[in-house]
Amino acid sequence: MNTETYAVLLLMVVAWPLLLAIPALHFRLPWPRYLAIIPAALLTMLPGEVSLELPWLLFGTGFAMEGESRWILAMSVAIWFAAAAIMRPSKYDFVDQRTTTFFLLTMAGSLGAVLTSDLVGFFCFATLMGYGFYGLLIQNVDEAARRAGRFYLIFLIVADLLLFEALLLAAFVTDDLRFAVVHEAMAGASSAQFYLWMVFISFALKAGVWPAHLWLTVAFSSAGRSTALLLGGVPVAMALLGAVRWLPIGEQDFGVSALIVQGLGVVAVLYAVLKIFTRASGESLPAWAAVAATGLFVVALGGGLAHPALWQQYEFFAYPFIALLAILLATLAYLVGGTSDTKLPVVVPQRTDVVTQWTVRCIATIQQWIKERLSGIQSHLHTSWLKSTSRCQQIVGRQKPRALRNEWGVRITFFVLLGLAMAWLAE
Amino acid sequence: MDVVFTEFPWGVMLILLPLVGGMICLLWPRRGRTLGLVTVFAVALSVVGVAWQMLDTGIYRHAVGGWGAPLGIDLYADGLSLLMLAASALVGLGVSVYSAAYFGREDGTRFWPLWLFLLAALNALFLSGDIFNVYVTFELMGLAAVALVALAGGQNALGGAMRYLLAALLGSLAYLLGIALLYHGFGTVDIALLADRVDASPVAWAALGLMGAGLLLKTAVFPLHFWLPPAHASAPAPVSALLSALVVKASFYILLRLWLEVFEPLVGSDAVSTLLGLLGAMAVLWGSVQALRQSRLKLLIAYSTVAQIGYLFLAFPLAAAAGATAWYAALYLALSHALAKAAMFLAAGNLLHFGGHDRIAGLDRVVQRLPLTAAAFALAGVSIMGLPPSGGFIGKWLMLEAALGQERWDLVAVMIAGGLLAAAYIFKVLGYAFTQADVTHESRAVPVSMEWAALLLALGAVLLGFLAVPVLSLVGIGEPFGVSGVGP
Amino acid sequence: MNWNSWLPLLVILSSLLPGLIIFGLAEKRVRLRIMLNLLGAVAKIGLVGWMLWGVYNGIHYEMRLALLPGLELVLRAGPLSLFFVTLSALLWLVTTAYAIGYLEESPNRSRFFGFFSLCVTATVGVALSGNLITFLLFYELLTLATYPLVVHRGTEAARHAGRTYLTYTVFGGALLLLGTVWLYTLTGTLEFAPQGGFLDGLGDEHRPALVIIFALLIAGFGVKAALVPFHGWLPQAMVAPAPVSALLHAVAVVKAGAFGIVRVVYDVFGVEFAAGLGVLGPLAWLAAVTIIYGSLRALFQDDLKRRLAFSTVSQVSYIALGVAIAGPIATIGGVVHLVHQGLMKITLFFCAGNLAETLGIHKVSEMNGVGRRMPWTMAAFTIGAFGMIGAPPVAGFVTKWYLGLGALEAGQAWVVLVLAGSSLLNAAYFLPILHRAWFREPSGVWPEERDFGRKETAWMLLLPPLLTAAMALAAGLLVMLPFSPLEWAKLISAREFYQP
Repeated sequence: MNTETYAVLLLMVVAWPLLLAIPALHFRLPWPRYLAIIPAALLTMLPGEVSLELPWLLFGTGFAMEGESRWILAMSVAIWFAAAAIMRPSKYDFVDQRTTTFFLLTMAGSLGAVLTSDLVGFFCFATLMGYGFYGLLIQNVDEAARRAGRFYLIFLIVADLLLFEALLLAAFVTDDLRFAVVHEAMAGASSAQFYLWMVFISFALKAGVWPAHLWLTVAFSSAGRSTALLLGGVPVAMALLGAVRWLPIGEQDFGVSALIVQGLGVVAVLYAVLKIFTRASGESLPAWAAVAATGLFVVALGGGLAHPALWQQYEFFAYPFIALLAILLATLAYLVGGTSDTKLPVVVPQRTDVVTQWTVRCIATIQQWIKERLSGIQSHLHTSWLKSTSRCQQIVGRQKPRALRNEWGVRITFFVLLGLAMAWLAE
Repeated sequence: MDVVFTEFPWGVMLILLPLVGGMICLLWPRRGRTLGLVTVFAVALSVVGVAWQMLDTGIYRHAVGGWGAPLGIDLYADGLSLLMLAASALVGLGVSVYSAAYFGREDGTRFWPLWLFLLAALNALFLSGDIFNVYVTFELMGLAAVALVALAGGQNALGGAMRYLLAALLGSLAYLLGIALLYHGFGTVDIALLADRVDASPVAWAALGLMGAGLLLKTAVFPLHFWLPPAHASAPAPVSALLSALVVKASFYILLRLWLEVFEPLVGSDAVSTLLGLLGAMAVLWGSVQALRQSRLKLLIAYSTVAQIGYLFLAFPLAAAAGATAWYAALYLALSHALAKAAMFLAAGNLLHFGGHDRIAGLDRVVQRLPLTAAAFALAGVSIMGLPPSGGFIGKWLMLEAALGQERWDLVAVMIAGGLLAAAYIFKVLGYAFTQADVTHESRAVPVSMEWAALLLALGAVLLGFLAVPVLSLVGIGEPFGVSGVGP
Repeated sequence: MNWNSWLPLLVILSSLLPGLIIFGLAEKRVRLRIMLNLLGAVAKIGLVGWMLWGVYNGIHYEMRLALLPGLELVLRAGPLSLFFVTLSALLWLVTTAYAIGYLEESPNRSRFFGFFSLCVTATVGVALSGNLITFLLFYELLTLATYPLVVHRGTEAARHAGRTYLTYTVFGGALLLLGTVWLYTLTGTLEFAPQGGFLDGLGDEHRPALVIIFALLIAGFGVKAALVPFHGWLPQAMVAPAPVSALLHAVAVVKAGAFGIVRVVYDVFGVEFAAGLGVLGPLAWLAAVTIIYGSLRALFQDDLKRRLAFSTVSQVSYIALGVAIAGPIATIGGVVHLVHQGLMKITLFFCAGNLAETLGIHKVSEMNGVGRRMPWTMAAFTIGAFGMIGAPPVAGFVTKWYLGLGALEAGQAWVVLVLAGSSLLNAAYFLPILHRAWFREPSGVWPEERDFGRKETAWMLLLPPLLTAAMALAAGLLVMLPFSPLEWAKLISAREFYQP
């Protein structure tokens, strides 16, 4: 196989689902969700490494497939295929059409995120994937789904903001934004610690790492089986992938930060294990399993941050780990949901954990405060403006009827003032 | 051919033609309209002739009957006079075309002779070389104007005309006393000779005071403006146009001449110019505020005149240091105001003719059906507001330049405030052009020539915005302001 | 005068002449009017294209006309002018097509299109100005030409909005005039001079005066550019028909104000001089306040067009912010946002107009499930909205990138926070609209539905937003292409910061 065909295939992996996402197209083609994943499947099976440079796209980006991303790609293909198999949408229902569109958009986003070779491309595809997944989350259009979607979106937006700032930092340090180059550049930069924390927090939010696991647990409890399947492989796995790619691990020792990260990971694992063994019913098992798994990953990340040499040795294992994590979570979600086609029973947890409650309350109070402040300012400005305009209107005489006395009084006052002003100015 | 043009006494023609034309109109009333139009057109051509001559030879001086000053009458024209002559010719042309359609047979027989006499008096005034001549022509002009105001008949018009007459006579009386004092003190009434002889003596001061007061009254400067709004508002539309555009400018012209030439040694002091500036500023603000409060269109426009005249007087305090820039500013403002205000009054006349009333609140039923008139009012308004591109903008720019160059923040504030207030009252009227009228009014059709006359005058005001360089170079002929040119 | 000096004038005339002719047309001459409109728009694009090609090959286009002794009216085609002129010309064509479709069967169409053409004439004049007095002239013309468009509907609300609009803009114009004349008395020239403005050589004793002049000029331009506290007219002007809102908010009025601010800082004062005066800091601060305030107000609006209006208030200040940070990269961000915001905002307004015209929807709360009924319109709206939020690959992302990077480069990291806050707020008020449209069930009957058969809406209403949405997407996706807005902005920035 020559490189040109390879390059086209690489492009098609992302472009084909995007194209199919247009409703007019996927309406007409049979089995669109299966069709869309074919280029990716092909690419996984073909040997050798490929890369494609696209200097005219975005700020100059490209795609690449090496050994590491092959794992992730394979996992993605498997999960998308499984999800497509579970979904049984009807072609003529608008809601299902919409779901298919979002399905394909998310697929394009996640595949693009796997294959992209620079920071901007990753950000771009991750955004597409993120917002597309929202569409999948709330496809059931009931209150629980909406709640899940709301939490997911808030976390996603905040994470994207942080990620954008981190991206700016990286762009400030280096012009070339490919992963390898950024790794080296950021490690030595003065803003390295800051960058580290921005990226870490951002991907932690996206992946549902403890203590930001709220959206994950809510999502697992309200999602249909196909979406629950995808939860592990799409947002979580891609976020972990992003963390590995973006963080400047393996270049230097990050001292305290590394310790904190490790600590967080350990706490996460313990917490999740506690939850699994004490209170969780079957339905939230996948959620807490995810928390535990991501916590484990975070420990590994922290270890890598602390001991760069170690990381360089074992870096390769991160990718299969992510792939395995995703497959495991998917299997769990499938099993827990039973073998039937229906969605998971909706269980709104009676006692949510402290972190959840605290987050929800914070968000609500902030919203209320902003609203009050703003309406206060508005009404104050409004009344003071009304007062001044009504005075002006009086002078101009718009209000009728007017007593003659008032008129002369105004005139005389006006003159006196004017004369005083002139006299003062003329000095 | 060239010799004929340069030697021909165009100045005499300027006075003679309308005089003769007026008399023939009196004698042959049925042909009044045609005669009037022909005469005005001929006058316009004569102005072109004078301009041509002046471009060739500089100052125009013609001794009537071959007798020169100090005994005879001299006709004298420099750039300033030329500008005023051109203004009266242009406005006169527009108003004549308008009046041809406006006045019926009855009114027409009285209008045309009076108008032509007024034109003769105006031209003679602008061409006068001595102050007594000025007085004579001034009187003639005033009488003609009063008669024109009373043309419409009815209580309002007669009342306005009476008030105008009283004010005019008072002003003229004061002026005459001033002349007497000057003649007694310095032995001549010729402007050029007086310019040499006058010095800062009590006689001169007294004369300045008297003549100044008289002229201020006739120019309707605040607070002596009480006669103007009723007179201009109750007169027929073309007459209001003539009054606002030309007649008040005439007395300003005289004041300017005296200030620049006769009373030159006296004007070095700050007190008088400060006073004039103060009066001008108050006129601007007071007139604009009053205009905003009016509910009738013609009164609004009349008060707008009061305000715009105030602008002209702002040049006096600025001229000491800024020199020619301030005077050119005042002149340009005067010129563009003449065109714009005439257009406004003519447009108001159209609205009145169409709808039978000029209440502003009821305008929305009328304005929408007269788009040309609305356009004329809008374009004229642009010049009054001082928005680019218009003559008003150029004048405002020059005035602001003079004021800012001397750091006279008070005058700057007045000018800006005046502009804002003008925008307020102009758009108060224009806003009605776009509202939906529920009730369509009964109407009389407006002849096309009336609409176009108004529109063309307004276009002229806007066009002046692009002709600043040639116009100002024309004004500079003869260096009426003692300094040449407008500099940065 | 040779051909090279006529071309700028012709570009202006290509919309002035059709406009004047249209004024005289009777209401029922629909075909002729449409033909004149489109002819003028196409002619303008052709002439602009010619000018672009000429400038690319090194030809200098300039026209001078004496206005006053010592002052001239100058029309000149430089990179920044052409940037704005191209945007205006392209978007005018699109908006004209949209307006023709929108105003079918409305009264007073001749008057509308006449003033519409005058408005574009004034905008193009603003773009091509070569000195401050020419800029002022066309700027005031813009005020006069847009007032009749705002009050076009003739209702009481429209008149009130027109009054508010006039109050603000005439006041701004007065401030502008004052600043300009004052500057002229100090310097004796008003020509735009790239790489440093024309204020070199003024000593320290003029410093306070120069600071005040800067404030006056920025205030004068800030009125149209909707800087806080001069933004009050913009939400009120939403009573105008949708094509007017689209044109005013994307192309003409708001951009003219922002363009003026760009000119003042770069070509009048010069960046280093302005930075030395210490006026850029307050400007940046004001722009930041406007960004946040506009977004906050937008959160609480239920009326769709008012929400978009406040969004405009917020977004246009990005340009001022980019200018005020005063670094080459921030300049790129600010200047390129002229085009990017134009494309995105006009898409949003076109979509809002479609919703109002086809379904009678004016409020966000009425928009439940509208994505089902009008998918293409809402797709365009989605692209525009995501661009506003700053999500790649729509054009807004590129702007935020350059602004953020420029801020970091100039050592003003607080701007990055402002940008982040703005993105957050944008998401907060745009995403609920998208959610309602795509994920909610329609509540039954639309307020006022017009029947278009099987089509979503009239094609003349549908194509413009799709076109502009595609352009917004392309502007973000294909930034590296030679003629993208970003490359152009880089050229402009390099010219302004050129170190010989």
